[in-house]
Amino acid sequence: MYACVVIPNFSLQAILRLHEELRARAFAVLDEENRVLQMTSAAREAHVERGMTPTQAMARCQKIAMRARSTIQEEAAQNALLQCAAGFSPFLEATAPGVCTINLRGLSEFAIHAGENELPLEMSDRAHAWANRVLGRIAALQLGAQIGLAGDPDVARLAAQQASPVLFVSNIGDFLKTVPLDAGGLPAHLLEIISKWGLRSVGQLRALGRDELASRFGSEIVDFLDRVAPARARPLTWVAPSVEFVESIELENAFESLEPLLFILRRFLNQLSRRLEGVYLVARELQLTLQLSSGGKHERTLAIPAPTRNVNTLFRMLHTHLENLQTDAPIVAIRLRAEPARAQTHQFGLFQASLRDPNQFYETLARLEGLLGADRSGTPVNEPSYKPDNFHLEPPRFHGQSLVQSAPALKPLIGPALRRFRPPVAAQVQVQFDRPAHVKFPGVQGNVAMANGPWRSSGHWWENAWSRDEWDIRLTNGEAYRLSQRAEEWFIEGMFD
Amino acid sequence: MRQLCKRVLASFFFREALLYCLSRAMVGRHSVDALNVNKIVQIRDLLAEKFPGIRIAADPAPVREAPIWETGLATFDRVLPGGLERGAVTELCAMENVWGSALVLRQIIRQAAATHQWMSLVDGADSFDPNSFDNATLEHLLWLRCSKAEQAIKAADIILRDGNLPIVVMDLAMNTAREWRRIPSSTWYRFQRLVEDGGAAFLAITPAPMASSARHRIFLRGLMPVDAFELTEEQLLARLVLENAEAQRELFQPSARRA
Repeated sequence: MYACVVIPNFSLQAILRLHEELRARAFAVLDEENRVLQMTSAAREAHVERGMTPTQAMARCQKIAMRARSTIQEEAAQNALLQCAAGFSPFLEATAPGVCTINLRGLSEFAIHAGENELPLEMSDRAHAWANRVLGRIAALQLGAQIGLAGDPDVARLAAQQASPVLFVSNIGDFLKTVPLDAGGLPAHLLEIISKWGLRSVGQLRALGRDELASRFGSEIVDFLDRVAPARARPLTWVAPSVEFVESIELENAFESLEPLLFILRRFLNQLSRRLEGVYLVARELQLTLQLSSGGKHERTLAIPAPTRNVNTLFRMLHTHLENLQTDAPIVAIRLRAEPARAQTHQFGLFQASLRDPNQFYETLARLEGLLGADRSGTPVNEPSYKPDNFHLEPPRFHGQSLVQSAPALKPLIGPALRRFRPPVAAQVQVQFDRPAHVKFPGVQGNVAMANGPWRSSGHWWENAWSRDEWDIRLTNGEAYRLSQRAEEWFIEGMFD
Repeated sequence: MRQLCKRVLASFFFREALLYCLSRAMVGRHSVDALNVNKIVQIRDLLAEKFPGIRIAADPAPVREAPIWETGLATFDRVLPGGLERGAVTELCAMENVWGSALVLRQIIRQAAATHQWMSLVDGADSFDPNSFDNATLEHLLWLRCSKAEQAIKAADIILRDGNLPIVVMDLAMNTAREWRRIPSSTWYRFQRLVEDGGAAFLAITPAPMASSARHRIFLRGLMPVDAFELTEEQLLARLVLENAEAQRELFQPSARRA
């Protein structure tokens, strides 16, 4: 038992899923030769036809909007279709662009006894109910689909093309009698001859006999019959749905302001969220790429502290980042990729220090990440090294195991607290008797009244070796600094306060 | 959002009622008769019934007990009402050539960890040194590494709006005067409203008095001790000189003090 999902007018729908406002308007997609390929019903009603040039189409419908076919949007739509279908069965075939065939074996709704050639009629209701669930999921991706169900994958595809929107084929022979010859893709010259014989359906043609037709028309008719009415079901070419959750668009008119960019990104997020929902995953990272008209590129990876597929949370994160962004040139293409992950579940302990609203806090963290950038917010964790200013940031943990793996080594609490300069400031230092005597760096100049040190440290000799001498100095004006010497160069590491 | 709508609606109704009353009063003092007064009273009753949370101007302001979070730093808590006041802005001014703001910050982080309180440090110039602490102390710290004061203000706004963390410290001590002079005074009133709603203890460490809405303002005084590098943290804390805003006023008005 097979189901075939067909997205009619696939090139058109791939564009319309991100431009809902064009659905009700006269709109057409142009092919590589700049001729009308597919069009909306409004355009069809205005007598715009396939194969017309843009001038001809505009002569029929003055207000028609036209766009070139977008392969990247078709690819994204195809991925979305396969990911959605994978939520129902793992046995998938990407039969053609906008066509996906699903093997329904193992599904309880479609359990049949071995050796049965015909599908029982009572299965029809179950098949319709199942198909409507699939259609609902696909509709959430802003795609309109048709589904055919049959005992053979090719017949299921024929059924999908005839469906409105679901067609269940119980008896293949009876069904083929209703399929018009042109539906199966019979070559035009053969169709012309056979039509003159008075034959209208595939079933009638098939009744003439395969060998007789082959002797008269040759291999072309055999290929056709094998395709539309095979003697036995062909094996599917299984594909694993892509784990890439990407939405992208090439803009016809470059964006120069934030609002239209946010508008598109919101639609991207809606699509990505639904695609992730279909496979029960969440996003743990967003990668935004903005292609600029100058040829440059702005790329930003936004890590999501609490992985989610909530559109508002993700959108606020992008918004916070973008409202602080200024690009050198207008934006001509946008790409948004969501890194999928499994949803985290946890339960807070009764006596743990918890938050008032953890979900909101994670959303806040995401916004802060958007504002400050990656690795600029979190809980600091010192690395097990003597290298100064060596730490990394981790997302705050309100549950689970402590970050501290062992008992903390107590540091001597002697001397004032240090405020670091990041990066350290280059300084000019005069040395007398192997000790700093005079220091000069931007904004500060003075004699050293007291110098403690040098505190020598080094490490990582096997790779990226580091070595430095540090001095804690106090100037005659009372200010105190930490001075370091690295390979004959002096730096002010920070100020004591 | 709902609260905001309620407030907008309430203020709208109240303003309309007030305008109506005033217009009648302008026509003639005697034209605001008992009937209209009754109507206004009815409107106010209706408002009070519909939106029990809102405050109508004539009502006395509710007296709220200010909860205090003790910093564990005796000299600091002494000049404050026992510690950092929750739901209020406290400003610690570390003006030029004084010392101790980083030491106070270090102590506050330690105390927050000791009392298992989550704390956010909005670091205006990315100058915080985590190497001065052990990892156990840092476990309850959310460090926001900002590159300039403007970014720190935005980050503080986000974290205060969230309202989840009970202690928020914004450290602008290392930001340049050019940066902090651009902070509009309305920002501090916005922070005041946010901490009032969220109940966080908010401490702003600034290089000059600027938090116009601060309920408590403390000044650090004095130069770093000559033997500071030889002293333990406890000894250094004992030598900190802190003055509150009232003391500062007295400092500049000796005649008033004598009077």
